[in-house]
Amino acid sequence: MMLTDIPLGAKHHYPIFDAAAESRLPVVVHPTGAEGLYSGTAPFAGGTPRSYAEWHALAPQVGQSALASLVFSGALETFPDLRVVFTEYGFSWLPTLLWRLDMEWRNFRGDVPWMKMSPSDYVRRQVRFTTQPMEDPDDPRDLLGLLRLMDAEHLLLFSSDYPHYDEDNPEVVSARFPPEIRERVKRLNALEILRLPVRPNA
Amino acid sequence: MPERKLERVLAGALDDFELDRFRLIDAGGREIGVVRTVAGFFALRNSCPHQRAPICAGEVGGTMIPSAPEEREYGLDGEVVRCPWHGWEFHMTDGNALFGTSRKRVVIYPVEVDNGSVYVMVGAVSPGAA
Repeated sequence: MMLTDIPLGAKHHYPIFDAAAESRLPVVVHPTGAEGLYSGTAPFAGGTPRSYAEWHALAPQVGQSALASLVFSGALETFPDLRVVFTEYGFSWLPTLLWRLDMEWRNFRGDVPWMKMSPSDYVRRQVRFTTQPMEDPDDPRDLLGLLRLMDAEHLLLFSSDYPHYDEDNPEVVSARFPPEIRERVKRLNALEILRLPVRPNA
Repeated sequence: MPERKLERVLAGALDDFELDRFRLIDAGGREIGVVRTVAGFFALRNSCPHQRAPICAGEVGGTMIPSAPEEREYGLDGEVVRCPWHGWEFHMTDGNALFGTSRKRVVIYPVEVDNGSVYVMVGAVSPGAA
């Protein structure tokens, strides 16, 4: 969870990052449900949402801010063994945010001189994203280019959010991934980030 | 590759070079900026490889070199040009973007100082070549 004055990459979190890296467990971040609603929670850009629909649609904002903080703060540089999984923040925004983070690094590298490689390189090395709520365009084929742009084959993990009301049906959602990346998204990427042994599919 | 014939183009008298101020010369249609810094003389094509900004209108100096998180260490004094448009930094000694920020490079030329005059060595200049 993210707070107004303590972004995800802040040193405040370093003891957790240190312990997680040492024990080879990923840190998993997830919306609290209170973002933008109470003082002290991570605020939404543009003000307080007036409906749950608005809140839910904009929840990825906080994930985007947290990712930018994690990258530019140097936390991923400080803890190269740290792995972070962003859950329920969506993923359709990732390709364009990575373009933008990389662009701003080129423009303002001197502002964050501890960055030894591009933001997208750090993300590829250390950060993963989960599927639920699955992006739901009218034509599912529109997802294909997006999945390629975000390197879903390596960065995306299936999640169901069971037993919430908006859980994703594994069978329906899996079918939307191209066959060549399906096994990675459903299984192998998760095993890698959890540092579990990869066994043949039973 | 055949050896390129270099041509010596006069950039000005040594005394004309104010520290960290580019002087622009025309070498057969190529605009080249020549500058004297604490690190020596440098010559570069006045065109940023990113979006073709007149890079010689940018600042010359050093920059923050790779450091530990939240620390800042200045270095490379006199070796760095910063594009006036987007702030891309290039190492004037070899034309490379700093610290892997881009594979794009600024074109650089050797400089010779001879008997009080400063010359830029450019590849065979044909009139009107861009």
